[in-house]
Amino acid sequence: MSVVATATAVETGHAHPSVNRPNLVSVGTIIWLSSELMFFAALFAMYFTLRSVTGTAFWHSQNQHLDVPFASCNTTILVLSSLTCQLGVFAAERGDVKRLRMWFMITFVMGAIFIGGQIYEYTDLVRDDGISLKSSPFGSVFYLTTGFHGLHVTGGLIAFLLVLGRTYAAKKFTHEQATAAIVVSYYWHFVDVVWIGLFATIYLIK
Amino acid sequence: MKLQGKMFFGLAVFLLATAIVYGLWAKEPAGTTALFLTFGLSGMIGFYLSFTARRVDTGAQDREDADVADDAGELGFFSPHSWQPLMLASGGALAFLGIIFGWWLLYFASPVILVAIFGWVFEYYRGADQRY
Repeated sequence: MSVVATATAVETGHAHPSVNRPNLVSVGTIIWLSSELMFFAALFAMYFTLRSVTGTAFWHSQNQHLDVPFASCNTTILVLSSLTCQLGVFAAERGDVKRLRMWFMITFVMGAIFIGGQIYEYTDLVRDDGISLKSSPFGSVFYLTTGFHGLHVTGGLIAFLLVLGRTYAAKKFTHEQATAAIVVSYYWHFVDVVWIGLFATIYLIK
Repeated sequence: MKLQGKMFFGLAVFLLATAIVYGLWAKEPAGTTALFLTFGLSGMIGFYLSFTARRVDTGAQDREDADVADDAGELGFFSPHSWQPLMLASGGALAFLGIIFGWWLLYFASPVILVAIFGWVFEYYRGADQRY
């Protein structure tokens, strides 16, 4: 009898419970990211307003100092880091924690290179071209938009470290860690898309 | 899920129309940008909800004959009590005071923020309350 009872118990136990609601952490992250979109909306609105108020001639006299090829390389690195981040998420969904760590470390390094490039660009602009936060409306809006984006990237880098730390701290890799990796990837893709918008606006369309 | 997705998509369509009309009419960049990104805000949530709806089972909210009790079940893990948010908020408040009184305050705020973030993220990963 005990054999039958054991078999029944195994059958009724839900190894894979039905998923009928989305993960609350993911939903919360998406809602928060949509509010972040409005934060950047304010920055974009500021850019467009100052550009239209100060006039095209002034704007072009300022933004000709921008190093577009350098920034393009930097942008490419950031976009590719989104790809490596997603590969890490695929590994996390398979439960492959070693690959997750590898891809997230690569993503971290690429993000750090982006931030380093941005700092290099800032020093160049301040030292050689005299464009600073208070030099002109262009300087204010340039540093505020790209700077706030840079702070977001830095926050993402810290988040990558925390996710990596969690994979080492946990006794075994579970859905909670996978969820953390997934929502950090949402954030990273979001920050990446915002940068594409900023880059196109500030460097390409001018 | 499907229903909520449709609601946000409906909102997105409305906001897109508003943004286009406003942009053509007012010819003013700030509001047009804000409206277009509000369209992005609704579209993003709508896309996420309908994309997730396809990956999960049909929930009680998408069935006509469902009862309130059908939506019962485990929601997730919620911390019963935690001091970490308070500590992080104190660190954040101190950091923002630094913008008013001087950047040197950040020197004292950043360790508080750092410890609070680590404490929060790893709260259930160590010690007596370890879950993971």
